[in-house]
Amino acid sequence: MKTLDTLLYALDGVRERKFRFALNIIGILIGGAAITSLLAITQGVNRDISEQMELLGPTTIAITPGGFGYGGKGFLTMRDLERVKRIPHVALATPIISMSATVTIGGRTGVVPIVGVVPEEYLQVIRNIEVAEGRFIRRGDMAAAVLGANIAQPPGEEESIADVGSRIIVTIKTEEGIKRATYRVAGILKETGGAFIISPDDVIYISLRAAQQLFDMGNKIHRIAVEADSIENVDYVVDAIEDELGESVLVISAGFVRETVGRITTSLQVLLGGVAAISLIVAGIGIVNTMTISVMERTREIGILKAVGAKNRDVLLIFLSEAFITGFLGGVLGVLSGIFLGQVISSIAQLTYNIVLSPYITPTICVTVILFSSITGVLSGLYPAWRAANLNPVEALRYE
Amino acid sequence: MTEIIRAEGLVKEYIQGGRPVRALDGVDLVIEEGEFLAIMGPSGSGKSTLLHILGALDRPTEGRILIRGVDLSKLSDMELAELRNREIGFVFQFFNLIPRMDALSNVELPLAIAGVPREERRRRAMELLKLVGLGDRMTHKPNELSGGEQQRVAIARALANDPSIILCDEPTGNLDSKTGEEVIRLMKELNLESGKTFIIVTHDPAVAQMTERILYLHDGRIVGEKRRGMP
Repeated sequence: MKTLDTLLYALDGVRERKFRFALNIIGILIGGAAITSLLAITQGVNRDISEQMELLGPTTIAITPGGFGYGGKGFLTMRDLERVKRIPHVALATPIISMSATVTIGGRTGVVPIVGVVPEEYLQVIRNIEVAEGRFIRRGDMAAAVLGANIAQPPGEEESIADVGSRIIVTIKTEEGIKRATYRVAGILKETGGAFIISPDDVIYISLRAAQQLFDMGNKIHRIAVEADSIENVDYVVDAIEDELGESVLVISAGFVRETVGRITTSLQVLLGGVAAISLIVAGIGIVNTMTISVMERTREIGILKAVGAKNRDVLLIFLSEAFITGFLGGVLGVLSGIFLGQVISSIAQLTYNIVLSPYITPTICVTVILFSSITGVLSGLYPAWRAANLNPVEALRYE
Repeated sequence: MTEIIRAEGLVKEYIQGGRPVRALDGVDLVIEEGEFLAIMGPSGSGKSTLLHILGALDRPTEGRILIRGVDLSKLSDMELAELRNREIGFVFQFFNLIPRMDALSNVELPLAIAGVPREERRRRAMELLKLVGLGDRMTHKPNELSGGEQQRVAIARALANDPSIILCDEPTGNLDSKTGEEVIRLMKELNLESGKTFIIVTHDPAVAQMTERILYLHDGRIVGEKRRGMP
């Protein structure tokens, strides 16, 4: 029997059992849709983070005193900074102080990271900072602050809560008691969409000197941002920094971050994809069940096929084709539903948790899901089809 | 006349209800090409079993069967399937048409299995349905056809690949006597026109009377033979 005729015959058989066929397809569809949407969402997260990292620049290296986060327990010192500056191929090394404090702006109070930077150096590292109003801080500013876009106008607010010239009050707790400082808003930044480690949108910038004074840092700093002179030298500089400052510091380059994020999203994909794959397996068992029943019901038909000369292989292929059609169609519909489901999930995440997920459907995801569904179909069809193929023709013809 | 089927010492045993049953107990027979032959016997005499073995649907427990000199016991299941497809046509008591397919598709089935191209298949099936007098019922499904019409479709299907042997298992068993007679007459015409060998298993003496030779089967043995024109 020719392949096309086998497929057409199988389709004909499927058409006779539309309801059961539809149920099987729905089973595969649910699994396929779950896999598609979850893969798309993790891909989307991966892509978003990668895009953010591009803002950091491929030659940028961040040094933190071990561990992520603002105001970690460890510190770096200005002496560390001097040592890093002496490393060959370091084009620039700039200190950063970053600590959370209670800030009052326009009558509202909240905890916000205060970032002290050396402005002209910092702007060479974080290149996507643009001033919307006013100006960026200057090296000697002791009472000027620049607000990130989300600080000046928190998400959800209709109007900005601070303008150039507004007064902000920063309150911190020290061992001696409550300490207060007042700054004038010198500028407001445009929204950047964020960057890795520190998002300029969500912080208040002051000068390094002002930050040292405010937090009583003395010689200490929280972070050093380094620019290597070329991409080729990034790895060398990373190694040299680790040698110079010892194992206690964490040296992060864009490549390192990309790798780490990639690893995390890949494990996430495997985990979520695995969970979704279980639903496909369940759907497969459903196919085994209904096809076994179908083979029993069609015993006589199988006998007829054999009487008119169908080989075992023909019968096997007819039933495998049915299983394949189920898997394939379920997979295609699953991908389509998965694209829709991904949108639904990201809308729900946005509405309820204010998390922005942008599902990213790649051709690879679509092909993988359809392939996987088809394979599930065929595997599920193997046993029933084998049974059909090996029926004794005489007994099959006698079957009522 | 040339010999087309030869059976030597056919024995068929199977287990039924835990006990061995001997359905055929040493059958020898020779059938010439172009014969129109009936096998008669009471139910349980082994008629259908014999027909299934002659049609390569089943294998004997002992003995051998040759079709045009080819020993079927030496063929694989796949080769037997091909033989059934090319050389043998079956007509059953309950017609055994595939209910979801119309008359044309049912007749096309053996051709599709043989790998005959679509257009040729269709042409041949239409030709055959006209031959059996169903030129105007081609797109009807089995449940839209009368018993006699269904059996005609089955005959057309049996003829599809132009086989030399047509095996009929109680072909009139499910038809009224008038329709049954018409069906046998059609078979006789086909036998005379195309020279195909017809072997008809029946327990209906009226059917047997229309054939040239009758073999009587009892308890798995051939117990008698009658040729037309002979007492």
